[in-house]
Amino acid sequence: MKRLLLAILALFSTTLPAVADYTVTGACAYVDREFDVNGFTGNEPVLPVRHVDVQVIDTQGTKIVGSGVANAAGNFTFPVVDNKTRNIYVRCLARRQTTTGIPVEVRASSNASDLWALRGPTISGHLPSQNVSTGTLVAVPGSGGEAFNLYDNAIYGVQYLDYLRGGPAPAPLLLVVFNPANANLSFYDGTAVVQANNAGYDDTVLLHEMGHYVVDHFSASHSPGGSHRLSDCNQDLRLAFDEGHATFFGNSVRRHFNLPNSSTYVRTTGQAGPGNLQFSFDTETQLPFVCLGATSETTVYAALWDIGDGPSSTDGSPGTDEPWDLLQGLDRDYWDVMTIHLPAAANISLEDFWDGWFQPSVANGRLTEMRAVFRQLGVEYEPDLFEFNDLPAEDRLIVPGPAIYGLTYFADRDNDLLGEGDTDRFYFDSVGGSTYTIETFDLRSDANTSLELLADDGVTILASNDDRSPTDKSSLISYTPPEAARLRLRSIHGPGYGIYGSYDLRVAGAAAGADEDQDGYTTANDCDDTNPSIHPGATEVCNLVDDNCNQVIDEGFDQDGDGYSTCAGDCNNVNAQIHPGATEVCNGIDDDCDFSIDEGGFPDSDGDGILDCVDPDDDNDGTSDVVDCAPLSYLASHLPVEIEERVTPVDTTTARIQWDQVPEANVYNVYRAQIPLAGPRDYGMACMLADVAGTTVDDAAVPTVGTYFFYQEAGRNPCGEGSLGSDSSGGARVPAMPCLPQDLDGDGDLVPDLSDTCPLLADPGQADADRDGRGDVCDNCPITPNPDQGDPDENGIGDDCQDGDEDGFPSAADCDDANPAVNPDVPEVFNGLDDDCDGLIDDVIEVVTITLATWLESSGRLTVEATTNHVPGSVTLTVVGLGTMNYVPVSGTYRLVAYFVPNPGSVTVVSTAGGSATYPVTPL
Amino acid sequence: MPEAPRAHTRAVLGLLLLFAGGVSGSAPPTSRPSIEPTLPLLVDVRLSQVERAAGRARGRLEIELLAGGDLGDIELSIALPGALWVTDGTALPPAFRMADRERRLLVLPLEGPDNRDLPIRLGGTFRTADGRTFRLGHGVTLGAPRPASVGRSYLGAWEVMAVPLEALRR
Repeated sequence: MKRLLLAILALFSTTLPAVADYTVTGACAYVDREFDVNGFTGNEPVLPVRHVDVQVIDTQGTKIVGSGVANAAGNFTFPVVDNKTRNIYVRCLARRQTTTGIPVEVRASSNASDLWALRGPTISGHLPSQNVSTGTLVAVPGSGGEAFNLYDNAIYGVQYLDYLRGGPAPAPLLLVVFNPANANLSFYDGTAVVQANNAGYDDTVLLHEMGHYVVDHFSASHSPGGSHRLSDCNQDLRLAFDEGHATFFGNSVRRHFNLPNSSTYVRTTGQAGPGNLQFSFDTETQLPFVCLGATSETTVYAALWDIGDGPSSTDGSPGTDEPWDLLQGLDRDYWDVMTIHLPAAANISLEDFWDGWFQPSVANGRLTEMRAVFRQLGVEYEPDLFEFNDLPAEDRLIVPGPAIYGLTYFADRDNDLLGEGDTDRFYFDSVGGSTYTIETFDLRSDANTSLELLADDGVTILASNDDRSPTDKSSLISYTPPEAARLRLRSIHGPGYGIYGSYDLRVAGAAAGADEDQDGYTTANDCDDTNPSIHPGATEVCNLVDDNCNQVIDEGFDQDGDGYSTCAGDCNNVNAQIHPGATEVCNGIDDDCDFSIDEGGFPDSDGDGILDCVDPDDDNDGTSDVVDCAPLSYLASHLPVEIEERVTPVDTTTARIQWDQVPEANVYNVYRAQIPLAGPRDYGMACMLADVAGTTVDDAAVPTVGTYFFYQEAGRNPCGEGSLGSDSSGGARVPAMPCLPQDLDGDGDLVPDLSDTCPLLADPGQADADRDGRGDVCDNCPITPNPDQGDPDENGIGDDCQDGDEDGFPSAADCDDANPAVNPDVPEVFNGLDDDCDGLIDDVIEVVTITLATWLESSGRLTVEATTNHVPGSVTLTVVGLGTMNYVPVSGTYRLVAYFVPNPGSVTVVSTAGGSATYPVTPL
Repeated sequence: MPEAPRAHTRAVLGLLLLFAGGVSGSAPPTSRPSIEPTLPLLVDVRLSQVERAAGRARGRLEIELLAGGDLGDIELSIALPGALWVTDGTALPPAFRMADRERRLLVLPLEGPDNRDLPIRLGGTFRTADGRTFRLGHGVTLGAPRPASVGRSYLGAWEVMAVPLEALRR
């Protein structure tokens, strides 16, 4: 209940019963700390606390006398029914209660009664009919700021989950425990996210741990848990997936909402001010913790990240993406794997994610693109060039020598894209008496090789090795055949949590046959024994020749099968849609390989040089397209905000309803409800006037006896009709008879009022220099954006254009428009003020002055004195090469005296605040 | 501050697990807590035995190191605000090595004024066995005296006082 029309009540009733209730309005907010790859940036904006519970507390009766819920902007308005005078205060609880979505709580302990709360001041002797306006209650660092920051990030997390799940749906409580007495490592224990004492502003740490909550309740994990080090490239396959997924999930939340530095994971020291970084890394590039293979959490989060991100992501390279990464926006495909396939998988790892992606019940497809991304990270879930070679009859020829064969444990005989257990079989011709060293190395993705050397009968085992050593799962066999013979080799995946992986194989020893070109390979398998650059194991180059004797020409140079090899100009070898002659489409990619991206006149609506297809904000209105309800028009980005109106009597029968303009609304719908003075209130509002272009209407209608009129207005823009506020239950008001769009053009300038920046004044040109949605011809402050046209003194000039202290700077540019000694032209001095309006207090450029520099030859005594214009004690001065100076309060100078030193000729003094000075030394 | 014994116990458990060694290949999944990602050199910087008298604050800066692998070329540096100094001249050691699971405690006695926050920042680099070099940072603040409690437990919540937005902008 927002506005009871007391004025109208007074007009039509002289004997009304007392209305013993009141309205509580206000907002909850917290001080945030922004960050980038270097830690905190120093920017600390005040952000709304969304959807929290709000309570009114009676301090004497120790009870809750009223409650409501803040909206998405942190604002709250709710009624309290009361009939007593009390001492009360209002508090915001770090809690979102819901039965249709995911509830969130941030507590100071695991105890349910330790919910973090932000309270306002006590209002003593509050009368039951006295409305309460708390203003904005702000939680600051060290006093609730951390808890409400964690709450806000948890809200982002559950909203991303809502998106993944296709809408809000019930789920278990997301509980976060934060207390300055916590230990200094964050963790999730199956019940709660316990945030470290110094991680209250480490958003990505909280969201990482929330990733474990997500798996716990919506998917499954077989990770052993515990600690895990980012530099460890050989982690437990299951842990690597679980932890990598958690990081991916957390940073994906930030990407989904276009929050800055979305690919950056940051762990700070928790201290105030810029920097204070423990470490950071990038989920896209892995830097600085680069690993290859599925046994690393860094590989897992990089692989999953590439599935969701795209050129427009707010990562470390906005506007572009890695050339091999052609996947983007597949968040729900990822979610299908997590929720459909993984819960039934065993020893869940990246292998299971791969299988789930292609399972018929999921069928996400895009094999080529997935392989390109995974291959780039050293995860080769694909058959090697020797497949199929699982059965004795399929043994493949290899040649003893320096060649290294890149192999994978991944078979797919049924071509269903899901891998199967794989055996790699080979044969080679040996020379009697020559020793052969057969080894595997460079194992990736938990390949864990096991080798058997067999006689030509394929049955007799001549030698075997599983693990080279207890800590090295590669394999090594050394064997000397007594006479020339054909030997066979069998390679299988040893026991472990997975069945896939990649490895290199080398058989060192003498090869049978002649070697005319002296390249180390004999005619037994050298396909060109006259050319030493052609032999098994040679590097295949794009030259129309089979350089490596594998009977395939230029393999690897047309991987996407589009008919163009890389030496024929294909600039992307994993995407068949990209090649010379392809049609250029608007996607941030050079599709036709002409070294130009998106040429061809694609639209750039805001003319900022970034084409719409990759511009995250097509209308340059500061609102990202993904949340902009009118992404091609700067006039609207959200529904208009709720309106506060004023109602005054014009005469004994007419009421005047007025309101202030609200941003992004040019026309307004006016609703009216007739409310009985007694009995249940029914706010079934009906449209009174639709698409009013002004901000005043008169109502000559008279309510029937025993009732009064209740008015409500809603701004309207191309996105729709704004909020009509909340009813007493906290739900959005819905009119019984809504206003219908009128498509009016009141000023006849052929611009519909709905999108007319001056709907009351003909203005066909619609010039709007400050782009605030108010046309220049009707803007009370045409050069400074002021979409609400605020002008409390009603002098016709918008407040943002006024210069209250007459110092030449309008209030919009003057950080203190009541003090002429403060404005951007004033030099900064030490006075506790931001004199020059640069956002910093007392940021004075330091001047160091050396006032004395003498040297006494007899004792080698050097005396240096200096001053600084910074506050004494706030900086440290040092004489270069000699040491730190002491501050001498009596003289107000810094001094250093050194003995037995030669005359340096001159001295240089440097300060920790950046100042310095050099001065000649005077011999005494 | 309200006490949080359960949460604290869990955190300690996590720390104990941090260097508890590898996982057996056949071990079944356990319900160990999932701990946040860390560097292989775990650092805890804390202040202890802080005493305040006559406008001065004195205490011990404790730097605890735990190696999660064989580490070399560990170099640490500490940045103290100008007004804070090491009273006995103790310096951090030059480049050193640590073996897997080795723990070290470095202690520096400090003294400084008691009228403002004094941020202490630790930086460093180290090299892992595979030759890669990483950076680390840490820090702790010797805080100025403040009221004993910033909040209270009341009617089902841990309450802290809000700051009016207008006051923040002044």
